[in-house]
Amino acid sequence: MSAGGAGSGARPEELLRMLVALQERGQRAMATRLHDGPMQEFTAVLLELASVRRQLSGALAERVAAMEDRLRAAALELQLPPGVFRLGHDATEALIAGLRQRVDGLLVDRLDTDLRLAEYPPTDAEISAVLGAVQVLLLASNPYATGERAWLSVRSGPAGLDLSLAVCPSGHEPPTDEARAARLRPLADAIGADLCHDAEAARWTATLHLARRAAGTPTH
Amino acid sequence: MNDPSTGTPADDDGGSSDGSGSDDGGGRSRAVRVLVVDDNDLLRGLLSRILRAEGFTTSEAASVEEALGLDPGAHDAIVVDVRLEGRPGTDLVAELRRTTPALVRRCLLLTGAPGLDELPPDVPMVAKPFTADQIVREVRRLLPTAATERG
Repeated sequence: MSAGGAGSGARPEELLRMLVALQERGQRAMATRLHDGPMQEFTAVLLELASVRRQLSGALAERVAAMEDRLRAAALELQLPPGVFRLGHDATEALIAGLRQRVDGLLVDRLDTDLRLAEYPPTDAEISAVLGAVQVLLLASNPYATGERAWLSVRSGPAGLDLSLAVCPSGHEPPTDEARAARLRPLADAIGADLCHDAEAARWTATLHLARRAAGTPTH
Repeated sequence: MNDPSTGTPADDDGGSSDGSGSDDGGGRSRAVRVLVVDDNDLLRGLLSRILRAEGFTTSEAASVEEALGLDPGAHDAIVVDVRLEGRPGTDLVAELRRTTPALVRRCLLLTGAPGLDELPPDVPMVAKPFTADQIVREVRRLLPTAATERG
């Protein structure tokens, strides 16, 4: 099934793209709040500490210097990772960053990927649609926890992108998971994905073709 | 903070230390001048204090407009926060690039959001939070360039 359906309404991939745009906006807003608040304060405290240190000597000065280093290291840990579509990221880098930040370890325990995008580099919008599709499918598969292993293949060709996402739940779950299938199937239908559910192994695979509007020419 | 209308550098309350002097062109040594541009009063004051304690002379501005009114070319280093009230600090760099390109090499950008702010690739950047030692080190790195330009 293709997500490139006709009609005047929003196409499924447009909704997926907007989902990711919303995440990006939220992250940017949090980064701005961090900059305008805590990071300014941390910097001020560090500079005050340096002023105090310069009036001390010997072991006391060294202790304050060590405090400065520890405080700075702790503050840096609070920094948010750069956005998925940070400046300088190409399509593949953006997708890898997105999968690292928002999928691997968050929605699944382990994610293996096979990304072939170089020959027909996708646009940021297409990458957003892929990232959005992967996230919503995995969230529907297991809305409460990780504990799954997933394989993602994305190939970009002249006609668009082909995504294949296979998920194998962890062993403690029952082999037949009708509830999982009931969650996944309507979502797959909504975004235009084909779903293959192996009830015996509780493994499912979703495939999705994201048609490129100007088929036949690479998108740069 | 300076009165932007006069551009008078803030008083130097620190002693001179190695590397804080600069040739004024006539063979006489003068204190290195640093322009600090930050709209956060506390940070701007602390930065100035740290730099003055190193023997530098500092001027302060809270905005791009104030900085431009303080004759940036008269300074050996220009420390600029990226996120300023009103025009961003990168606007100051762009303005200097347009009018006096050599001054861009004297600029040091401060940002609390690395990776989010669009920064000119040829201008060094320090991410917040930074230590006093870090900022002093980065300012010193700018100085050979400025000294060379003055010839």
